[in-house]
Amino acid sequence: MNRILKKPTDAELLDRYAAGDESAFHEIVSRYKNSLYTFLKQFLNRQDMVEDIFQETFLQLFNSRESFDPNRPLRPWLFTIAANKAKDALRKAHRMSAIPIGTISESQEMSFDDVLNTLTSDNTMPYEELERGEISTHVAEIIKNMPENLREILILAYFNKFSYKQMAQILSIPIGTVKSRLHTAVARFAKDWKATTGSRKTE
Amino acid sequence: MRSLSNQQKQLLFDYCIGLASPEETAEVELLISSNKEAAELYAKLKSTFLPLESLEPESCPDDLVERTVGRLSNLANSSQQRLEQLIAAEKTRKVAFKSWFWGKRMAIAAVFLIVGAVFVSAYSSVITSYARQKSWQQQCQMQLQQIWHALNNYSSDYDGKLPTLASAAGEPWWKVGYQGKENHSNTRPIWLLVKLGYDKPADFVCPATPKAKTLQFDTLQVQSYNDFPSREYMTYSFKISCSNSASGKLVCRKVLMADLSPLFEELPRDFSESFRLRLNKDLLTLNSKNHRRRGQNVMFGDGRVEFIKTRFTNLLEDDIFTLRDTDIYHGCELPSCESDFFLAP
Repeated sequence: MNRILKKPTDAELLDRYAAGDESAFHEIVSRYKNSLYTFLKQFLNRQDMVEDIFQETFLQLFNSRESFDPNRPLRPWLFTIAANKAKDALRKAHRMSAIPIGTISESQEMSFDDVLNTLTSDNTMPYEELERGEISTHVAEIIKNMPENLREILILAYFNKFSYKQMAQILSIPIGTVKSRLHTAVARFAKDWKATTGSRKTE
Repeated sequence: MRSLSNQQKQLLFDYCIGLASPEETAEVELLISSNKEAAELYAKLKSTFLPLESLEPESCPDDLVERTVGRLSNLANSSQQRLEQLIAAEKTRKVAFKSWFWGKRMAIAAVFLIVGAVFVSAYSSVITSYARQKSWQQQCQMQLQQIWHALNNYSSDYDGKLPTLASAAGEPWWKVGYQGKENHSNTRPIWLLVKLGYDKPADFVCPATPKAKTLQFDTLQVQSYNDFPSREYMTYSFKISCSNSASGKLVCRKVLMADLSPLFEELPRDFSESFRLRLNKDLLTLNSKNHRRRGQNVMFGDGRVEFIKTRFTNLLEDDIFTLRDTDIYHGCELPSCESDFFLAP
């Protein structure tokens, strides 16, 4: 009885997925649909691109099913595909001048102490003064306007809780770079958030 | 109180952003509770990340999930179709093999054609060479027949006698081209045919010899010559009559001329030298060099000219190039009888 109710592992699902089992398609897509959709929505912030990349990610997963190592967790692999496709889509859109240059440009990374100093210089966040919906809109706007490399790592780390090692694999960069880039992303967010709320206070 | 190390700051950062392990979490919580600086940093980090909590996970639209699963099914089906196509292609591989097989056969055929062409070319070359040799044999026969007619005309003009020149017994007959007063060449009687206008000099050069086409004859000097200018101008051997020859008449049983004797191909250029030749096995079997040793044209007394592949005529089984019972030649020997045909030099 227990065996019947047992949830299939990613590896088991992927075996069925690779074999063309439609129920496995449903299971895998359902298992990762929300996290992947959220990631793409935050990273791309364009509904048409989000839906395209969402579908292409799962199609790519199926096409590369034979190269998948069942001993590796499926989730980082799925996000690796999604991140790469999302970045390609952004670059393509940039070439077509559909996306502001600032959103895909990369930023210089800061030292950890500089990051912490940025946080400690002014910690007066008018969080309580804002409605939750209004906050989320501002946050989304700040994230949207962050450089691509900072936006990407902040989403992966804070919202998806990937470990440093997994982020290093997803982004194909060293762990040290992951850490320093994440510090920079947090400092950038804090700076932009302070700028946003500061301007609101003066209104 | 000691200030926080970078590792402790990193632990605080990881704790606030949610990347700390359970062990690290316990360590950080202890640190926050026991260290004022850590507590302050925690507060600042916490307030930094607080706005991010306002972003809640979004639910993926059901229609997007359905569309994705639909596309996956289509891809799987098309993949299955592709697999079936591959299987079908594999099944039709015999056709490809057949094509390859035919290709291989064509290649082999091409090789055979090339080899065949080479062989045909070589064979053609052989055929051409053979035809050329045949042509020279026939032309040689025609020249010998022309010489016979000249002899016949001469014989008619000189009471049925063949051209002869007086020579004493034991005198040499090998000095072809000797222009002295002595008749020391067996070609001198034949030279009379040229000198007296019964035949042209070119008829005495076998067309199969290498220099046949290049030899030039100064006809104005014919009268001043007592013999052919050199051996190149006379490539046939003529009958040496026996000392007691009964008749010089042209009769069918006589062998008068033939292509150059293999015994006397090399003669001393210096006529003052003596000549000596010992027969050996090769010299007893060789045919004339005029026609690549394949045989020789032999002219008979009745005007017949036959290409004979051996040195023996069918008349008396006599070797036309040797004397009977003679192994050593000094260039002055004569047949002992009329039936011992001996063509020289």
